[in-house]
Amino acid sequence: MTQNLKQQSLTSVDELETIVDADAHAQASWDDIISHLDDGHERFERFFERSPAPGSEMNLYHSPTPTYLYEDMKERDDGSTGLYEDAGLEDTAAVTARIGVDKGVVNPTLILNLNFVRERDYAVAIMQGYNDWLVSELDEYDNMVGNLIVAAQDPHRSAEEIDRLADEDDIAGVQLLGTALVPPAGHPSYDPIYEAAEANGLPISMHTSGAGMKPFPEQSFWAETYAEDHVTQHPFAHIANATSVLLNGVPERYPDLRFVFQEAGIGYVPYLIGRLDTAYHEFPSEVPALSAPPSEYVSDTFYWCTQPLGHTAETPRHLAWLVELVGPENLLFAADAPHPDFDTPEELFDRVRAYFSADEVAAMMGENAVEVYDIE
Amino acid sequence: MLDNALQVPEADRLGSVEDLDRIVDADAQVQETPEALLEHMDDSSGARRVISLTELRHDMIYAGPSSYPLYEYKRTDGDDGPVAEDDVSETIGAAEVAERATEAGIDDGVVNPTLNLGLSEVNNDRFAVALASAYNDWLLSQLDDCPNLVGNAVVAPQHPERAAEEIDRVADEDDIVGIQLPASGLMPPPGHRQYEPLYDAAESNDLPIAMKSTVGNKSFGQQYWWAQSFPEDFVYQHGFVQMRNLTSILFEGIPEQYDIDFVIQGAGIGFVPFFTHRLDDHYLELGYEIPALSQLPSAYLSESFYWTTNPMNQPAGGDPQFAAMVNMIGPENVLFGSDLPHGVTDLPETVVDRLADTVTAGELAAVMAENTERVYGL
Amino acid sequence: MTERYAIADVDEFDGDGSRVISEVEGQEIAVFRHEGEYYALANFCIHQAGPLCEGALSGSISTDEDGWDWVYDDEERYIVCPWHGWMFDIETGRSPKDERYAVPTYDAVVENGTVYAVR
Repeated sequence: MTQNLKQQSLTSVDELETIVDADAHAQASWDDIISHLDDGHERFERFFERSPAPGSEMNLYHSPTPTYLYEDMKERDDGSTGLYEDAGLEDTAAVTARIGVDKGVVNPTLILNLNFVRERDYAVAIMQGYNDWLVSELDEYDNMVGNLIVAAQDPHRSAEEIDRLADEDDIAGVQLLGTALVPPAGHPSYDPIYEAAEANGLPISMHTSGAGMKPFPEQSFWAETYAEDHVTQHPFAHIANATSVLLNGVPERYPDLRFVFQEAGIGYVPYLIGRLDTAYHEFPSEVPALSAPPSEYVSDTFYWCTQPLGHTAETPRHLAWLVELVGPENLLFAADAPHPDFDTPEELFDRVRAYFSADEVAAMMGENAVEVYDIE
Repeated sequence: MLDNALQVPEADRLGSVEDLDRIVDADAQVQETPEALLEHMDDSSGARRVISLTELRHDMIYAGPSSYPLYEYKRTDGDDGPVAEDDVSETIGAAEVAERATEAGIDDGVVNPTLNLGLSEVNNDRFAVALASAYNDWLLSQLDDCPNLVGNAVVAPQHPERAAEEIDRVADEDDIVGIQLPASGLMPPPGHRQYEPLYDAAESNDLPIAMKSTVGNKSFGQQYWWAQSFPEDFVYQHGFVQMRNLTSILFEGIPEQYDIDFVIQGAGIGFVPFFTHRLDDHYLELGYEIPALSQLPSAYLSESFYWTTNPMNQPAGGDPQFAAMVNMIGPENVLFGSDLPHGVTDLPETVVDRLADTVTAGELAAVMAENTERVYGL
Repeated sequence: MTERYAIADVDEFDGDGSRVISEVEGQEIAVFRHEGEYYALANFCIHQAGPLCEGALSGSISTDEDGWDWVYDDEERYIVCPWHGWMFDIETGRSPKDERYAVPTYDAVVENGTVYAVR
């Protein structure tokens, strides 16, 4: 393939000023969450004390086979070493430093499945406890900011939560979890969340989870392995939510609101946008909420995290092609530290550096995230 | 970058669609009606009796509400002019499909059903089996007078043993060149071992399996219950169906056990590179869960999986996406599909225009005809 | 030219399934003891440059003759990268999932109670 030799290319990640992991994680334990609960959540606390297995009783998450993520990669006592001990923020910071990432935007781990919680009050309790835990943890790290989580089960109290914490220095955005979000994200019931996020100048991040998506019964009943489930879980949730947000006109109602899609890679994006624009042109009377093709809103306000980039056996340049089709200005490098399908910065950098200008590469490796999340 | 990267030397390019020797359509559609199918069921058939009680309303036989192109009336040419006027209640037989194909400059075609793309979602298994056989008999009678058309026989996945018998029954017909396993609403997914008789029969009769998706299926409950409009369903329904089915087929080792070609239809090709990268990534990271495979998923995909071009995105607007996807997949695995008479925008010149500068004349001839001829043994 | 690196004394190994990782001339080499034999390979994963040999040893799952049932071979001859789970045979250095993927191996030679990696 032809490269533009006139452009100034970077040769090493060391030349980058800032590498940001737009999708870092920190796991709060149930104890962490409960110890940060305010008054008013006694029912949740009592449930937690009495239930023999509160996590699984409340949480409908189910994977067909164990997730290797939290089992194989832990520290163990057979001479091998894992990636982390409890996947808390300390582990995240260590992995971040080890792979050469400068800053991170922190998202939950256990609480990625908040949408699976049935009781609205419990979801609200978890939201408040987790968020206060997160704020106190982030205090310890100069290079970490985080997304506060909202409970889609209660958009009004979620909006109050955004107002309560938006001024915290370390809160950079709002996490509206994507998997098992019913109704999908374009439904008007979520307007209070979008209104509060926009008013506080916070982007909406949508993170998905790896398995057990009940709203897709075919998958949750019939996938035979975690791998089989996981291949399609992440992109399906984003595709359904992004379609819903766009075709139901959320960007028309909240034009300054930005969306960040995390953990599904980027290769599905050109396909999705192509089909959205096709639908817009072929069924115009079915899409009254938009005044321009979906691709225009996407290029203005949607951002896509790169991890996991995916593996190509022979043709790594294809990843660069997909980056071009999505557009470097809408990409955020994500490592997913410390989870073991993480990407090192080189995983993206090595595949794009020869094909994009230094500015474009610097943008996707960190500067776009600094701008979107207003990171200092 | 892409514009430059994709170009082939001018000397290697095909001039225009007129310079092609042949154009073969891997995905034409006849439109069958319940009425026509009933005529091919025995009077003694209980399924025939009960289906006749529906007053032949397809939404009472198939799953509905939009398992088939009831939606055509909603489509426009982007300028509020309707692009299709066909009523789903009318038959579009093979002769009419052949006529429209000729008008579009297409020489030969492989036809698929319309209503029976929803066959996997027929609740009553007896109906499904009876509808499949009736369709195949109706199709054969239609194809007799159309030398330029051949067809895929449809099978009911609800009863794999009967599907295998149906394959054996029609495999020797000259006009039957493959099997259509309706992709949408297929439960369990097609990697499940219950389908072994079906795959055994396809393999022993040396017939490829086509899997075409349609809209409105219930297996993705979120979209079924919560899509607010037809486009919301249309945008991702097809891709979801294909990605789920293929993950199941691959990770459960079907291509390791069977020498069968698969033709994937209805979702376009834009998801394929992403999906391939993702499958390979999972195979290498979670390989202990995928012992059924002995090589990367991408290797099986390039050996025995084929992708039809329809539907193409509209408008093209100089977007290099399609050309990039063909290049990444490899033109030897891409089949021109028109979706005629339902797809009115996927004409040969649309595909040729978008590929003319980016594949060689030989590769374009393969996409437009030769790959389909090879896969279906035409 | 053959290079020979002293990795460890035999008595540093705690029986089968144990390992010693040494840094020699700027590269990390791991030696595993498996069924009384020694196997040496680079502590480097070709996927994303992870510390391959710090991961766990594992047997392997395959399918039976019908291609359906899963069979576990408990001979722990595969090293699983702690970063992303890629597996390699400690003797051949090759991935059991696709032979194109391989990490560098060394001959492991024992002389006077010392294990050497030779290549």
